[in-house]
Amino acid sequence: VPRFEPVLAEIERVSRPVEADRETFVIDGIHLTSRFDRRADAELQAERVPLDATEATVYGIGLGDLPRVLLERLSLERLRVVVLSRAAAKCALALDRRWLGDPRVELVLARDERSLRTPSAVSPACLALADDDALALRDAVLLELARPYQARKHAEREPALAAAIDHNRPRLAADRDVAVLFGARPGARAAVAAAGPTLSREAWRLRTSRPDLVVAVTTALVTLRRERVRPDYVVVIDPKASVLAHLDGVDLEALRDVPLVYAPIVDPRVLDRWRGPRYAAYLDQPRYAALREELPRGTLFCAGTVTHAAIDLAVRMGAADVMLYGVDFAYIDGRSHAHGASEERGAPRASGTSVLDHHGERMPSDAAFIGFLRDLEAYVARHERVRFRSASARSAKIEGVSCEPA
Amino acid sequence: VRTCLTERLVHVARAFRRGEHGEANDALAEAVDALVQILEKNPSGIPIGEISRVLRGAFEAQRRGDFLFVADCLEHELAPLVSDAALHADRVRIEADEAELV
Repeated sequence: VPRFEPVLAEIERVSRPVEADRETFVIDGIHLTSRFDRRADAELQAERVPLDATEATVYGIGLGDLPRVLLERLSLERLRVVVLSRAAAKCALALDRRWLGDPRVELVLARDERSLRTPSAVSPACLALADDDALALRDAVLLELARPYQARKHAEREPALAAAIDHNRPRLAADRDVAVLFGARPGARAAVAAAGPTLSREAWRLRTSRPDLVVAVTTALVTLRRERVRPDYVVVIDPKASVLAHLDGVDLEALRDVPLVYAPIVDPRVLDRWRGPRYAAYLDQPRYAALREELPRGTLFCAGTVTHAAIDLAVRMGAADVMLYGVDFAYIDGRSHAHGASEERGAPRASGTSVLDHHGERMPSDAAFIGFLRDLEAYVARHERVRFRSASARSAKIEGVSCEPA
Repeated sequence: VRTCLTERLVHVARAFRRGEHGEANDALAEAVDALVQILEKNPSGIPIGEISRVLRGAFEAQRRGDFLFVADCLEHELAPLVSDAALHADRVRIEADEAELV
């Protein structure tokens, strides 16, 4: 198929061992389709594209069943097939490439796709096998697939969050507004300490080369204490009762003059335990809209992790340079958090997803981490005037963040 | 109960095949809990060894991110085993009822 020659040449260049298993093939331990009923698999995946769609996109070829099933639809005028895994594509096209001759087909590499298209169907095996230059698009597909699940999870949590806000209403009314801190440190060289595994190795730098401003999340406090690093501000937004354990083993009396910046969904017991001054903040989420009218407070960016809010606090305070510590978004040496952090846990049993570190090495990750990472990339892109750096080359590579240890 | 479990296993498998891994992983944990409850209550006629073998394979595949293999294990291996066991239990119950009538 001459019009696809450049793409096909790239596909042909890869060489990976392929094993057969019943009806399908296996690459790197990943079955490309069902072993029992490839057609049924493809029909199920094709259901994501409405029957009357005239255009559609397929992410990942699998063994070619999904594009073939969609091309049977006479109403379809254009089918864009995006190669996520060159190895899987090579295997599929070795079996059958006749469908490539259909004039409705476009074949492109994920590397050359700028954004997610809809309607689309997905070959899940190719998500697991995605090439390095397909990871950004792979993540966008994963997050799109996870969207209904995440929405349901958020909806389930909403009553508990509303109750927490009610409990915190007197504190919210009495505490200071985070907005008074905005612009307080213009041009500062800042550090944000999150509790990813690399914080254990890198936190000492904050003691020997202390920046103008250190913002920490509560999860990182145990590690910072061990390294005798005292943060200037501590941020907490997580409603879970387990946040109380973040304060265990921390000399709260020694942090008596360190402010806590919090979102009103936090467990009230966490706020009551904090000895220092408290600043209330809203997060840029719809649940705060009504409350904002009644009790105006400054808003911090947060797309699911306290790390976002901590970074945004540093930026809103005026930081020109933000060094990220422990912002890893990956399971490093099999761990989720810095050594000793109360949330520390092993890598999940079911992951199948990875991110690249600053060396270009793949690190195991999960859908939540990947969502946080991509949302942070979008945030970094919106703040061109701030220089973002990572303290560890083993942290996930974040677009727009350079790796320049202090 | 077992028929219901069979449907749940197929539901989980379909979620894995669509790439809806969050939904699928949660539903798998619930289905396995339900299966364990059934095994604890009434193991008669259930091929526990075979079920354990299939589940082990599914969990290994889940660990390496081979979700279509997990789906196959659940839909094409585990669900029929559970379904057969339900039929066997029904047959035993019918035979017992008939013997009582005689």
